[in-house]
Amino acid sequence: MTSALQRARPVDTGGAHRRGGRFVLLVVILAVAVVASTWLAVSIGAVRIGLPQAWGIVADRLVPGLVPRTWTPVQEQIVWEFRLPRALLALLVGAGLAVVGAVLQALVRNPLADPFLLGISSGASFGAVLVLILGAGALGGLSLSGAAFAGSLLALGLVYVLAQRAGRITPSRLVLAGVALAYLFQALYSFVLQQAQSGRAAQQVLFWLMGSLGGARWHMLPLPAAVLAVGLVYLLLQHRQLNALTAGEESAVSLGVNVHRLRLTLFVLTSLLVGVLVATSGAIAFVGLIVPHAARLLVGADHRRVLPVTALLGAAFLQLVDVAARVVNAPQELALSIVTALFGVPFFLWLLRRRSVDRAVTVA
Amino acid sequence: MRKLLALVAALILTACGQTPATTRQAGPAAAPQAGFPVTITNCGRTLTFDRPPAKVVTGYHPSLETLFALGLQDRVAGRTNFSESAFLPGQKELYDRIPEISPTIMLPQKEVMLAQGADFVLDNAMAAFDAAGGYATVAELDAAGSPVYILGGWCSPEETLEYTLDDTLTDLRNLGKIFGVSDRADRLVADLRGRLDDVRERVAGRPPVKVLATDGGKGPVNAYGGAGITNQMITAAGGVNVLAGVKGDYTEVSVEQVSAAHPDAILVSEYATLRGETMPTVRAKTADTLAIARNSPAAKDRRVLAVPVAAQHPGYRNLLAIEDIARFLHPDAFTR
Repeated sequence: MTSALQRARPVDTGGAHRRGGRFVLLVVILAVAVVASTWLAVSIGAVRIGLPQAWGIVADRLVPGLVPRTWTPVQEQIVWEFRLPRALLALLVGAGLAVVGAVLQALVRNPLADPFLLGISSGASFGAVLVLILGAGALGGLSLSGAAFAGSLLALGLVYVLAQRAGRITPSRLVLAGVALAYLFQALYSFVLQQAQSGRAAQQVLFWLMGSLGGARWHMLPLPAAVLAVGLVYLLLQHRQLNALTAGEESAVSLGVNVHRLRLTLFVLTSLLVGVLVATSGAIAFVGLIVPHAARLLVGADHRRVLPVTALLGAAFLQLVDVAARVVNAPQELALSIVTALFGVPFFLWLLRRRSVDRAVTVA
Repeated sequence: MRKLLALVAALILTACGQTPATTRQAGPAAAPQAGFPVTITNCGRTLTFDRPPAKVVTGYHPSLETLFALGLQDRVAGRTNFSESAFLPGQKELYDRIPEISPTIMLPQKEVMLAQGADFVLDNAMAAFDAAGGYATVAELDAAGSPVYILGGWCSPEETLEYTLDDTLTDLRNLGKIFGVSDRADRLVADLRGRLDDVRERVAGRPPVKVLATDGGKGPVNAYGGAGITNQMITAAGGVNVLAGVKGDYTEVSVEQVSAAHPDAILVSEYATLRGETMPTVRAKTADTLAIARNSPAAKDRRVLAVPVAAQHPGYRNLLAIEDIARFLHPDAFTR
């Protein structure tokens, strides 16, 4: 694995020009997919609502009085308060987890890296389980998402302390500290879970741990949206450094990159993003692992292209996954990690077989 | 070395000393009782009792409540902790007199459980007999002379969906036979049947009230579907479950479905989530549910009843709770 990583080169300038038109076309296609999947997500759900009503409600909210009211207050509540924020949150979480995965794979130079690698999501899960089992009083009245975020910050701090030596963060230390802490937090929340001894509480926790967007409301959107926007802009500005980082520390240094500071910034940024996302939606597996690889299979290794494609692909993917989670077993809902794995893994295996992927999965 | 030998000797002596004690209990010295042996089937197993159990261990609280209702408190040698919600009237004193062998609602772990030397184990579900959870299995307890009886036929998750109220009456009759108190059991069954009949007569002819039974959640909502004990309770109390079309008992339901369900009344499960701590979980769950079902008559009238979760398990309290729910759904029917 390491030798393959080291063989990779940061920027393939010759291919970049040739792929320019294809990249634009791909971005357009993915943008259409994002819009189409969101249209689908708002149009269908556990309760059947006619398309004229569903989109009339959205239009009426955006421009009051635009269309004649043909819907009930319940339908309005379902579309405007439940479906639309849920669809938008799916885009944010999907894009966010996928981008975090791409950055982490570059940061630790390991194709197996995903948002759960650094123990952040386990820390978030620990905070959430505490509140779910012990009640809001356990953490001084913190809400579920507040507790999850606090847990992720705790994990972030611990990983940071463990992963650095003499002020430097090395990828191998980061991975080892993260994996070890993930096990620690899993043990802690399993302990709390076992203390509860109540089948009901355990069922609720398990559902949360497997990820769900079912609780999405408007007030939950601004924070993840802001963190994702800032993060994405910063990462795009840093795409050269990211490319250099994946090529190896020596070549990055020779290209004038302050590797340690970059690693630290990326680590904090991704951790915050994971904390915010996991706090809103629970731990959704696979998105952060497979979407970046799919993006690299499509556009190559340059982060200037990988990052936008990863974000769009992740957004559309999670949107479709969430639609499936709502529809397959309606009106009951499936946990998202079940659906991401059921749909994502076969698709990914197909991608793996379809192309010569050895070069692409080497991260760089 | 001498110390070690002494220790080994002591252990052997203790072990020897214990063996006759258990033999004595089970020996021919015990007075034979009329009507025994008794044979009962439960969860596909045949249980045979040569004499009424005298050293009973109970699991989740409804099993203990049921034995109290049959006046069998002096037969219970060990019980689990119960601090989820209020006790039934008069039962706290009885509860306090029985040794607590587990600080949770679950039976103690395998070794502690087997060490109880129980001659009968009563519980509400199979979860406390799961080897993976560190518990003694039904087979292990059987082999140790501690036959297990599961209330309400909750032998597997699938079978909980098939529960009917009659199953609890059957349990009472079976326990009457097992303990040699069939007369008491028959009286209790007649009394409970009379209460259920009274409820049925009072709510008969009244339009069923649309009921949502929930355990809270911002989305998906934890709620009770169209199969199982809570659905049975709603129906018996003159209600109709708005989630009757949802397969399952305790399950996760889309917020859309809850919003569109338009319940007239809401039942919220009440229980403290961890031992020994009382938390106002009902208030938060009620607020979440009313926000989601904002357009429903139940939300406009704030028509919510907290139901102790212990009453949503097979047992004596379960049948009593039906009357409480009926009074909540049809107050006019109980003014006479």
